[in-house]
Amino acid sequence: MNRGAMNVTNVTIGVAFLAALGTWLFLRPAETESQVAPVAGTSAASRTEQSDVSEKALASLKAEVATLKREHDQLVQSLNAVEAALTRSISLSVQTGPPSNAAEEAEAGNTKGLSEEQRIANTLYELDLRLGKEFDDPAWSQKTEVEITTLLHTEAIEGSRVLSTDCHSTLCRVEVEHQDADAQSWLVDHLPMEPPFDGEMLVRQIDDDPLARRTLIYVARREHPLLAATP
Amino acid sequence: MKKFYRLFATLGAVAVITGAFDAPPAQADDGKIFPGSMCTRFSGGTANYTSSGRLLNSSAVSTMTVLCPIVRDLASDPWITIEVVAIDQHLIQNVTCRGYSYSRDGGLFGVSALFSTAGNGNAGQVLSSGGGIWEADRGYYFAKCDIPPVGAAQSGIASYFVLEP
Repeated sequence: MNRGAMNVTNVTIGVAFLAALGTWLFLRPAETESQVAPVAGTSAASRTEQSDVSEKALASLKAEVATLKREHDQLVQSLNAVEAALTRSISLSVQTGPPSNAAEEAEAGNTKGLSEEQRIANTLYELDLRLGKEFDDPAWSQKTEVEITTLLHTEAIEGSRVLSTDCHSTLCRVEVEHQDADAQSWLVDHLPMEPPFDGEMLVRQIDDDPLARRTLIYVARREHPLLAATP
Repeated sequence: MKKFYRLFATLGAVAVITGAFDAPPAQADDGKIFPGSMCTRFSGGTANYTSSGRLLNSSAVSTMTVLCPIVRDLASDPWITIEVVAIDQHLIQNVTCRGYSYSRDGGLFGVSALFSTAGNGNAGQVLSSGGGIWEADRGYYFAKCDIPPVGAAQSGIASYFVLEP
């Protein structure tokens, strides 16, 4: 009899436990909603935080797009240079009769047969190649990069901003982005004359995309030729 | 009479041989000189074109930037040098110039290193750009100079010169 009563008690306790568990599980979503409700009360702060996060993400994406554009440009330049080299070698191979050594040498060193675009692409490619091969002279390169950034700070070149500055030991490559054609012309017309812009320069205006006009500036260290040392 | 013919023939042969083996005349570099008054004011200052063909800056306060066009032959190599004869009468600032070499459409250009006067006085100072700068087929050249405002007297460009291969 006692054992039977105990069994009934155990079953009752079990049923009660299960009922309590079911009730808790049933009510839990409602609690979650009630926790969200106060957050909705502070939606302005939340929106500000979300906005900050979005802006940071946007800035990060913009920087990434700029980097990709630069890499794209460099690849296009490399491709153009390779195409130019192929064109040159094909034109040599279709010549009738074996050319003399002197003629071959003259042709090898002669880029006059190339279109202007190909020559420009070659020149820029060679400069990029030279910059890539140069060892870094940190005493000069860091000082020069700071000087360039100082001279081309945003207020000094309204409507333009420096995307990148890369100096090694005798050469710098500076890339500037412009908001429109006027800003680009202004910079080109008013390039600084002070060091480090007192050495030889090569300036390429890129305006194939009107919404992203850019200017590439290659500056040689003073007393160093810009092109003579190019391979 | 035979002797005369023989002498004539000998002299003729010597002349032909000499002509055949003579070195060709040396090919001179091609230089062109322009008066300073060929330059035009680009910005700043006040242009004072003198009857002596100089271009001076008569502004007391503002530096004048001028563009000096250079007639280029159909040369296939860069200039050898550009020289600007500048009058620098400013006690502190200098006349500074650079040579510019543009592609035909102006999309790419090379710029020489900056060249500058040193000291001041009435005498012309010859500023030389040096060569080796980038050039494009049928591209165009000019020099661009900054002329300081009036100092002891007016500064400017007396003449300029380009030497091509």
